[in-house]
Amino acid sequence: MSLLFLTLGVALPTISGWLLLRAIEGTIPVLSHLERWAAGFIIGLTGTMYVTFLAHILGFIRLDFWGFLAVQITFASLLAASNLLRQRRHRRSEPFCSSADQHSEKPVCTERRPTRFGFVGQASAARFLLCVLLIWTSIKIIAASATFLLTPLYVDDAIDNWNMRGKLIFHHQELVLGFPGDPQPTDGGTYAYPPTVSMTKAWLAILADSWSEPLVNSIHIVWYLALLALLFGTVRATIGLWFGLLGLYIFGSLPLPLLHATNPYADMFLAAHIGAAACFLLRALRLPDSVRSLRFLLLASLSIALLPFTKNEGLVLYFPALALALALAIFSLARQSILHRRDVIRASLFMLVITSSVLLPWLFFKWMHGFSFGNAKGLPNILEFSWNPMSLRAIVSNTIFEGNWLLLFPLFASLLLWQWRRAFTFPLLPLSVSFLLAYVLQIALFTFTPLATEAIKQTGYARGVIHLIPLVILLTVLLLHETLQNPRRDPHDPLYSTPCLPTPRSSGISRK
Amino acid sequence: MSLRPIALGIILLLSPTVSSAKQVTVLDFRQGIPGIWEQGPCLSAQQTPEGFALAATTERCSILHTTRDLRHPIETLSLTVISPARTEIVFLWHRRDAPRGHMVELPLVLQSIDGPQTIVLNLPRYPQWDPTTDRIGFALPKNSSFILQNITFTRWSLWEKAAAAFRSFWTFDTFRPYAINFLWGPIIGWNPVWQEQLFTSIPPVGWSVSRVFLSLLLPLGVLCLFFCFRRGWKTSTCRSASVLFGTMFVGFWLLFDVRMGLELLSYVKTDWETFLLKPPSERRFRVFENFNAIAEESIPLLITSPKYGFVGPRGAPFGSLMRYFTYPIRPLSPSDPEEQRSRLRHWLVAFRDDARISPRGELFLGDIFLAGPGIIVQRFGKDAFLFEVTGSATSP
Repeated sequence: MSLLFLTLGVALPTISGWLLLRAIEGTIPVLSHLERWAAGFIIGLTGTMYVTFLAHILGFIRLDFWGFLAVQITFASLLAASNLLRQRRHRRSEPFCSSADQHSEKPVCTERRPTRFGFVGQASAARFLLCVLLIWTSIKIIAASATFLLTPLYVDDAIDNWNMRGKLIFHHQELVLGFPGDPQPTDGGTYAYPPTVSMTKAWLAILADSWSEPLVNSIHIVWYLALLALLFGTVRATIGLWFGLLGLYIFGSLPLPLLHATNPYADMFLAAHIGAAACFLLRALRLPDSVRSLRFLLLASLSIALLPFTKNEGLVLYFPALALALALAIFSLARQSILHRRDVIRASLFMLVITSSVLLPWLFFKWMHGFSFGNAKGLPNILEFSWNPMSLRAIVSNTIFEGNWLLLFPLFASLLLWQWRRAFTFPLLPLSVSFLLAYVLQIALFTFTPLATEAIKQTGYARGVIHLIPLVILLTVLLLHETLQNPRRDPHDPLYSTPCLPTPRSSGISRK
Repeated sequence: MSLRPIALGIILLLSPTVSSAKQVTVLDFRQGIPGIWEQGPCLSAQQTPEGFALAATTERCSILHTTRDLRHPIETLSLTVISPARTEIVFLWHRRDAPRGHMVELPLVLQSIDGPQTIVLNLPRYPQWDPTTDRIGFALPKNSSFILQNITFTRWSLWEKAAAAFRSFWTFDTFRPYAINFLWGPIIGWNPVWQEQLFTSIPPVGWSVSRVFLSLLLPLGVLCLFFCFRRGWKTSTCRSASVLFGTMFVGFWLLFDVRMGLELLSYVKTDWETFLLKPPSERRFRVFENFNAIAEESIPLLITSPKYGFVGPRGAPFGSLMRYFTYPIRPLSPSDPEEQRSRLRHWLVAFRDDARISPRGELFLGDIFLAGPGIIVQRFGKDAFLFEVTGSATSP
């Protein structure tokens, strides 16, 4: 029964997300079906909850069944109408063909799809092993998910924050900014966090007309699966199916992210948004085709714009890092003359408008209620200087010597060093820079501020890493691909640079 | 190539592990007092048929034993004692490099149990431990006593240590609340006691297996680079070295994945065995024990009033859980104003052995009056019950 309500609950937001992405894609669909549905779910759900939040604080709706439904129907209808109009206009004006054919000076390019996987001669064995490992990973995910849905709440933040706040919305049918009857924390406490996750839980419970733990918790698994699907889709489109599956295995095999997927914490939810932004940025940079690159840049802008409405870290840490990555991407594409001045202005304006429409109302709301901007501590406390060398030891232990990430970080660090030229030049530069920026900033916060206790007690650091895991997985798989294909390739080799081939009919880009 | 020399080589290499057998020394105090023991003047020490009865009445006292006669280093130590009351004693040892009177102290808790209890100490986990210590002993606090039945000193054979290290790789932690932030992962303990006690202390002591993996991979990686730089990137030597390194890395990753995957599946298995497949009243949920079963049985009665009282163990999230379970009905705690508490009809007490009902039927937490008079409507074990106020409150 829970699965039925879950399906019903995410259907309209996902369709809205799908339509929104499709609207941004315009006449040339650039995403595969898998990517569009996965990203549609991630972006659609958060986007819908954001519009619901706005409608609620402006006094248009209550957070009851009709309030949620009205927003979802209106949002989906508007997007559907816009898509229909666009399709009709497009059919009338021109026969279907890539607009890049008309506007771009360069021929239409697709992404490279190598067929080799692993060392030549061992490819079949590697593929067989990978299939076995994927079955093993699926068993783990299914077993952990089933148990998660059938067992009670266990972890602190779910009890005090995500689920509790959801239950408050469910009971009061409005946004509750403090536990009724308790003294209000001056900085808002956990009520200063964006309400997206809690609102989603409340919506599912309202739909089922009861607060059902399996139902309200099931959404966390969907975020994880959507992120897995999106990463797989991106890597498959970028470097081929088998590396896509390798990325899927690497991500699925990591123990701590799997635990987060099967516990009601919001870190995987934030990771899904960062993952979506990273995937779109990467795709934008691997296409020397102005129209498609621009589409991916707009999609990335949308994902980045929603970050402030995910978690507090999304606003103060990841939004600036990924906005910088986006700026770098636009700059790089403009320098290569892939984006024309008009495209640059369009991408920048879109970013500005879409970001302002999320960021400004949310900041205003926080400021109005005197809410803090930090996560575990408010920003003024965070900015106090306090050196704690013990935290570095804890960070190294958590990253390398414990069972959280298997051997991912030694592998990732080795690949970054080994393929540094590849990692720190386009198209990977924006991803590497945004990862390093966010990661180094986190380490600095955990080492030089009172947040050190979060690192020493290992209560905060790993969650920050979970947020960045999609970036790490993408970079690892792409650099691994480069290493396996040709470990000492000359970076000026034409094969090494972004390919530019005529669009084949079976390019994997569906046309509608 | 004949395999005989290889087999012979292996046998020769393994022979020290076989010859290095386990060594055990037992001091049994039921037949007499073995060895030399020096007791402080304030300590009463008497040999009895049950063992060596030690008691300190006036002040903290210690008793020391010379271990110079011991023919082997000490790796683990097992104490069998009888302690009628819960007693905190101190195990003492002297490091040979320390001044004579300078003893290292390790506090031990003897539980109040009828009959003998055994405490097994994995001593190498303490950096201060000296396996060839020349003196050990015990310090008893004022007004404490226990009977020492025997002490067993053990040195494990190399083979047993290797087997324990292998088993400890496959020893899993349980799903504790900290697992959402970190998982210890495989840790190597170097003797069977260490392996058994691996995840009983936080943080667990031992070698992280990642350390072992990386200390094997790093030199191999450097060697691989050396060959490739020296002989050229397209040579078969470079290729073979790279394949060896890659295979080793993949092998370690897979081993790690299987190990961690099995740990996660062990959480699943435990949850099914102790919670999901059990009847509601017998359910145990991870470190929450039977709290969820207690809450489930109590909630129908608790939510009959607008507020209820709840007392749970300090530091546990049970108060938050009850608030979450029963919202909008709200629990009050003993720290809430008495005026509000006095109006409550029901109190749920969970895992508090300091909660008691007075002869007048009043509920007390230690010396704090909570409610009453009333009756226990349901008991969930010796330290958990549901209390209902039947009369008007009469605060003492």
